[in-house]
Amino acid sequence: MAKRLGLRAVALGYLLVVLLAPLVMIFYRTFENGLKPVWEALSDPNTVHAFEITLIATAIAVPVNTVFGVLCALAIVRRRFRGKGLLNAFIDLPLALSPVVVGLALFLLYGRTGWFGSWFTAHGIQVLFALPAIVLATIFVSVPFVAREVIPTLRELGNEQEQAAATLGATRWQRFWRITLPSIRWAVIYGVVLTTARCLGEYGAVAVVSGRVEGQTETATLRVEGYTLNFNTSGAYAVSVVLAATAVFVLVLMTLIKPREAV
Amino acid sequence: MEASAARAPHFRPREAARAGGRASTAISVGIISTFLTVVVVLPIAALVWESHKSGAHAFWQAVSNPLAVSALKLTFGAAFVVVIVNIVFGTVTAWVLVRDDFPGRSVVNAVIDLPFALPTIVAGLTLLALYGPRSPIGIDVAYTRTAIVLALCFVTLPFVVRTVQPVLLELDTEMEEAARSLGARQTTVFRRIVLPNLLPGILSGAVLALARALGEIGSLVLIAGNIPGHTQVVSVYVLNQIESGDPSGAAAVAVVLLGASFVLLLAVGALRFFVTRYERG
Amino acid sequence: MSIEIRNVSKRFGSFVALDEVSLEIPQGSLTAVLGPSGSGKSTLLRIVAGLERPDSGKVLLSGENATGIAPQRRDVGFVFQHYAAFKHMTVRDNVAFALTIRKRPKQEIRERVDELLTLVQLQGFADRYPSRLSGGQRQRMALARALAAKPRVLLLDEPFGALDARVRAELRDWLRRLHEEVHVTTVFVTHDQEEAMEVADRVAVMDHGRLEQVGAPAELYDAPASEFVLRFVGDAVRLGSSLVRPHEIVLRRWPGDAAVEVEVERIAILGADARVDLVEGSGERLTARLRREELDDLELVRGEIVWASAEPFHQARLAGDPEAGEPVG
Repeated sequence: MAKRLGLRAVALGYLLVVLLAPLVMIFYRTFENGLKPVWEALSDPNTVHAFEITLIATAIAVPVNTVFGVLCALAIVRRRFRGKGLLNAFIDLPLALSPVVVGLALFLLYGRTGWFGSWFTAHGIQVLFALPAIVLATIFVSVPFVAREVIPTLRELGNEQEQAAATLGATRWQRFWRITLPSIRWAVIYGVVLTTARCLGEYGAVAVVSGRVEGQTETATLRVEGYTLNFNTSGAYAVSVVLAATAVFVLVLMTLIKPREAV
Repeated sequence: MEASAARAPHFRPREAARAGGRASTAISVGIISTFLTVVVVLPIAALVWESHKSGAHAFWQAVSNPLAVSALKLTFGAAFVVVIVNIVFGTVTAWVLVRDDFPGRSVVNAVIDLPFALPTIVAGLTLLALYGPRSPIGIDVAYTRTAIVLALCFVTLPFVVRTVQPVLLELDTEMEEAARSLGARQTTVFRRIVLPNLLPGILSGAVLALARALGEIGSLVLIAGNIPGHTQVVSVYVLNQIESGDPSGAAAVAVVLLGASFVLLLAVGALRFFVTRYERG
Repeated sequence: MSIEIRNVSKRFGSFVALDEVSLEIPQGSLTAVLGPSGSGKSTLLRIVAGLERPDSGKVLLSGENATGIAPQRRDVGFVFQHYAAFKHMTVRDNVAFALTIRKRPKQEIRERVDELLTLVQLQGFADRYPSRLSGGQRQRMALARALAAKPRVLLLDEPFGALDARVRAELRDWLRRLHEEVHVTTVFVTHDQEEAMEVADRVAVMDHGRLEQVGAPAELYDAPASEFVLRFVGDAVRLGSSLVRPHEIVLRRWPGDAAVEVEVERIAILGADARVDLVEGSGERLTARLRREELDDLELVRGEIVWASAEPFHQARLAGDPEAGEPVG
């Protein structure tokens, strides 16, 4: 019995020190001096713009990676083809790779002398240090999530339901739309939530490729860094608290959806 | 009550998809391969190219640069420490969440995923607030190596917990009961029955945590101080090199990290294979 | 719809699932395809449904070659061993599926679904999800679903295999009565010979990808065409040098023609029957089935030595054996 309490204390203590206390701090520190500095920081046009950039990048990356993730899962689980191992490895790579390495890779590919960059420059399109690079970086780092969630679910499901639907007269499209997609919907939703969280929180890769120009190519996360480096702590906390609140919301969604995933 | 617990059998899916199946497989594989190539493979290829562009000598010089070496040593060192911490505390946490019951357990369970949901830069800021110069509890470890370990513990916290939990949930307590009925003490039961079964879960969580720790940047930029040669991790070093206009040097060191990532991915894959093989018997 | 399977062969890699199987299934019949695991029976059924394609041979539905036609155009109803319920739909939506995708009018669908749910006795369960149903209920739903679009053939793949013994027995009866009411050509696959004999008009016995015998249950039992059928349909034991059925063994206290000396090892009372385990001098074990009255008359005791023989008029014969009354060798 003492052993049980002891273990519990160790686990909870660890979580408190590493996880919970810092989270609480953020909310505390932000509103320490009242709402005014928070409001000032959040209504600063550069900050608003930073949030816009983050949202745009997320709004593009999430649907793109969702479609990719579902197609990928269907191909990997249901089809036979060579190179599945390689495909799996590259899908997982963004999870294991440092965001700065990702940023550098994009920097080299789309830079003025890069393989793609030279083409874009010749056609007068700016990728690096502009929105396109930010979007590309965001897409790269959030590639795996939907695929990783849908694959095991699809595997569990088997394809008997689709076979049954076929015997009942359903065409391939009808089977996909009425049976396959609805069966994986919770896995897809969970994957979307994870993808969104990752996109909103991206820092390392965009730090390299965005150029960090205030009011133009800053994301919300870069803004936090910017504020901190300029000793504008209340500004940094203000943006952080918005991001943290979003994170808590994401956490709630994750908790609600996770059990439904296990169909 | 059903007699057999058999799951739905997987009847050769390719058979049923025969009509036009091969063509549509080619199309879908083509689409996803193209997407993945453009988004992931080509940038990585460009990176590897750049690192070798000026020859092996230049590569070696960039990697053996004292600052680079110190960053690498620091990063690997800190990462290993953090992985050990995670193995211990992560397993304990998973155990407590699965086997113990207390008010608020489900909230605690949900909170474990916080590092996955919270932007790393915000994590860094909060750690700075709590354990930095203006700490309300008087602990100031900002700009030290301790801060690095602390930040890495935060971001890697969920990994081992989440890989061990499902294993613990599935673990047949009957095995432990059988062992106890045969006379084994609790610690023996844990050592000989539980731990061997948890090991694959612990290991895969540890490998994932290691991969994450090696590449982490967002939570470190604010609290680590990034003092070259002392508290500068590899990712920050690479960032510095890019900003100082030495992309090739940065690429060389980045490739080292890339290699480590690949190795770790292989390890996870091997572990997964091992585990399923073990189950299939 | 009648079904004709002509010289169908199928292999999976090096495993031969079906070897030149030909079978005719008359319109309106209730046929069982019986065989042990790996005999190819499920594969055969799936080929008829269009879920697998034969390597060679043809499948004709009502005289038309259906071999290359996709399952959705064959007008067959299929019931899976593990139900294949659409988990994300209610019972009502499951049963309505075939009609929904054919864009039938809502009123028609509603009526047909109600009709079917009543037929399978799931009236109150329309708005439940399959996960809230028992195995037996799920299988009845699967049956209703398969019948919704009035298929010309109903195929069932080990439909009761995943169910409890008692539910199995109930559903067997139920399938028989359903067939009598609906009259659709029905083929079901099973490894349970009792089930096949009890439910079907005709039984096709398969082993290792080959069709061993087709006929009415009595025919298979009384006139097995091969040793496999003899052993698989009903029990068979070796007495001396021949194969006989356990209940055809007669025990006496004196030796007679072709009688074998045996020791009584164990007597188990099974209600109206008794099972007597016997050992021959050579060490071979066999089992005899006696009626309680027979056992009581003999006053049999454990350890006794008696004489066992198979009575001529009870003997199982290989079909076409010219000498009636001879035991199977």
